[in-house]
Amino acid sequence: MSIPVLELKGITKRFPNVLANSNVDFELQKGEIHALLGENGAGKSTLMNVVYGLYEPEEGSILIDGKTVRFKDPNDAIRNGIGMVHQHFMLAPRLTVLENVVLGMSKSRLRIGLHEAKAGVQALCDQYHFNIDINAKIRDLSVGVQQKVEIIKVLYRDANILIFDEPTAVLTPTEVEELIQTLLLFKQSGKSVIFISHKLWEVERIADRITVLRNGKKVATVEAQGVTKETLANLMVGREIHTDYGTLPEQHGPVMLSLKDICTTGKTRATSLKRINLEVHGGEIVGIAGVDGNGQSELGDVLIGVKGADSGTILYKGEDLTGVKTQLRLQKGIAHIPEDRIQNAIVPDFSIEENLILDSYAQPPFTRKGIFYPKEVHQYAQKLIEDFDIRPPLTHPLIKTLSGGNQQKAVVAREFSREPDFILAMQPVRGLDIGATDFVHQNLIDARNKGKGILVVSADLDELLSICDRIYVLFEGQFMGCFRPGEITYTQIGLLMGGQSLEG
Amino acid sequence: MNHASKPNAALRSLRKAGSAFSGTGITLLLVLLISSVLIACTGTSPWSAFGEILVGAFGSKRMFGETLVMMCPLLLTGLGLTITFRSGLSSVGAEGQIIVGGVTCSVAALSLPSTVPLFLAIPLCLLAGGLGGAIWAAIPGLLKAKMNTSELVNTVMMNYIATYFLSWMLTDVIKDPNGFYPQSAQVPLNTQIPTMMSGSRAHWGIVMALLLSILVYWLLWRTPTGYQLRVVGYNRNAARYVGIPIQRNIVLAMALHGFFSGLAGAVEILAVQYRCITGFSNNVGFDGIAVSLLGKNHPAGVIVSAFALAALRSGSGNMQRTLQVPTSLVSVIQGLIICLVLMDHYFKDKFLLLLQRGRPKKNHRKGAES
Repeated sequence: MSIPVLELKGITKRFPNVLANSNVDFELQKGEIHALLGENGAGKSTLMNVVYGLYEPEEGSILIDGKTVRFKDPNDAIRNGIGMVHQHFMLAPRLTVLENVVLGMSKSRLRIGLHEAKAGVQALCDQYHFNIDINAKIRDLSVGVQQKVEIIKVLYRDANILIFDEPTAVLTPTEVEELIQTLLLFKQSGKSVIFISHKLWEVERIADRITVLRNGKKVATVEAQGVTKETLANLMVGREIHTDYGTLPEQHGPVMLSLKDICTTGKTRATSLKRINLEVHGGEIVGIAGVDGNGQSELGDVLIGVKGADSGTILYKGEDLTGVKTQLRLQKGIAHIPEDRIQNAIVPDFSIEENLILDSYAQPPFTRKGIFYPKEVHQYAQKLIEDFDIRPPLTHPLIKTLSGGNQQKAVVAREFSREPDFILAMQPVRGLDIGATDFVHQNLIDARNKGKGILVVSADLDELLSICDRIYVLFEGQFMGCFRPGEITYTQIGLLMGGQSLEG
Repeated sequence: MNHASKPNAALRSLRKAGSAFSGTGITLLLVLLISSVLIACTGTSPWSAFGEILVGAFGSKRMFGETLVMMCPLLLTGLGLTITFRSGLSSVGAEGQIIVGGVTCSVAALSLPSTVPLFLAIPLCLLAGGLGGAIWAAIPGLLKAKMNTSELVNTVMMNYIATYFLSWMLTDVIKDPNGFYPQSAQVPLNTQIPTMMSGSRAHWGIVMALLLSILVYWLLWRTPTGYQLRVVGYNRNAARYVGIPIQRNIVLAMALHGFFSGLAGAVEILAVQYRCITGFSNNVGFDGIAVSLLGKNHPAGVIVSAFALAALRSGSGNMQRTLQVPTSLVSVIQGLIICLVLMDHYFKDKFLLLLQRGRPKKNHRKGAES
């Protein structure tokens, strides 16, 4: 094998109280797409930040084309041909594409040299088939296009090694497809790509080799050819993981929830709901698929009573809920996993135990005769923390100090332990690693098997396909169709999500 | 290291204590340091200045009594502000609420027949004061809840209205018909709060304020209402999604805030001034902000900080008399406290970083060199 363009030997990076990377080896060949796979907190981002010069490792060395290098800061890394596309974009929203690309690169203090740069930037766009107006302002562009600007920025700095930090997390399925094509172009032109991800399917699909990290250590580097998702999942988590939960035979219980002709006025026309009709039976998981911003949040808000519908009725176990207050809806046995965890589901500055009673604080045993009993909360929390394996297993730390996965476990614990009959789960595994995802899904499946009705709203189609019994596709506030997993192809689902009905 | 485990445990507990108190501790140290420099600039030794303050605050029964008299309204307003701040609202309206509370209390006291017994008359007048303040504060609360207008700005405006409302009342409505000055007649004897230490002005209102501190603690942490208020304070969205009525809690928090300020005003009238006069509020409403912030918005902390600030205020007179250092220094100190308390997270983080650096850095070096 030829000399790798990038080689890491025995990288160790410590933070106070945490060993983020421990003796990690890694190598990247010219023209290779090498995926870095691992759960949240496995040390992927730390390792890449070491490569990009943001962190200096305590031990180990970095070799570029066989020569040892030391990076004091990202500028050193950039000079050595390393570029990074961060998960959170580093763009100035009020400046144009061109200005953002050139930003920080001008040789003179007085002149930016926009004019001279124009041709070069345009050429790069053309070379990689990016259909971008380089004079458009960043804030007018969609997230997918903004990511392309980040890529152009990196290319304009002559990067040969491109690091992508979970690039697909923010993209729609179509945009993901475009990104994959771009990465393949890079490969053809002899550039090397490091691709950070915790999604199995995309890694399997585009990578040449896959290095798996777990708890800061390298577990294995495998050829992507012929490796199965199951193998990767096991390497990543270190234990058996479900990727297929199996569907139950159609066995409908009573109708738990039905929406009839629900209409709302949303922020935009696309988010307004237009005559939504939906039924969820006991013992089934119904999914709502669709690209974000097509009325999903509206649907959740109307269901939980945070927002009123313009017209239509909501029936829960045959009872009209329209106009019933949120608190009462929850008390009647509706559980809710809100969409944005930090914003809507927890109180970050409350302790774990105080968060576990957010929707039952006013009921016995926590409140009796107008008096609130923290002792009862404490005991209840201890039980929940044990049952749902929330870590650290303590009741008093502020919940904001927990990892995202454990915060979500707390939300699930809170909602499921109220013995609900209907569960509304909005983006229940967004931002979670595979272990926590499995936990949430397993709990949803268990609840279904106990005869509860469940509605899952998610932008992640794979998630829905793996756990749902029926899936509706939402586009601009309307249902485009309803199917059972396996009935129609991936492409057909994509069409529905894009607003095309299958019949017409 | 010989006893590797012991120092570790010690360091850990030190860290724990450090993280809890370092912010406030560093704040107070800095305040002392800066004010020492200021005192030194006037040509006086800071040591003797602080000494005179201590003598003035605790030197005799009478002086100690004055400190307690000063503490009472500070504690009451601080408690009210604690509820407001815990509910995620900000307010500088205590001053106006104190004034309105004092006025409504005076009106009640002056119109009560003198036949009403003391144990009934005083609570009635206190209640009148509290309700006056509560209504005054509920107005910006309602505006915030219904129209999302800034409660901060509105409470400031309400202060001005209150000040001129007081002037009008004193020159017209409740002006002492037999007097010349713009002030009310003396409140009848059956409404005057009795003193509790002979030879000082310390009165039973102080005991009431201390008992109310326990009540506020109880309210915030041992009732579902308190839980609601705190959820609304820390994350309004989460409150919305579990159906906690946000608007109602905002108005409630403001009204409670006003109730305690109004009570402070009432106590000033019934136990200290015995009549309604201009300027009886004496900036307590603004100083209450420092009390609440320094007390970390916890009733126990508020008791301590109200006592400390009261001592500072009552002792500074003595410092001025003996050393000619102006009492306005106290205002400077209070200002410093507010500024520095608002920054204390920064101090705390710096301090924690210092503590953390001690150990791992050595390990880093060794690791890097081997």
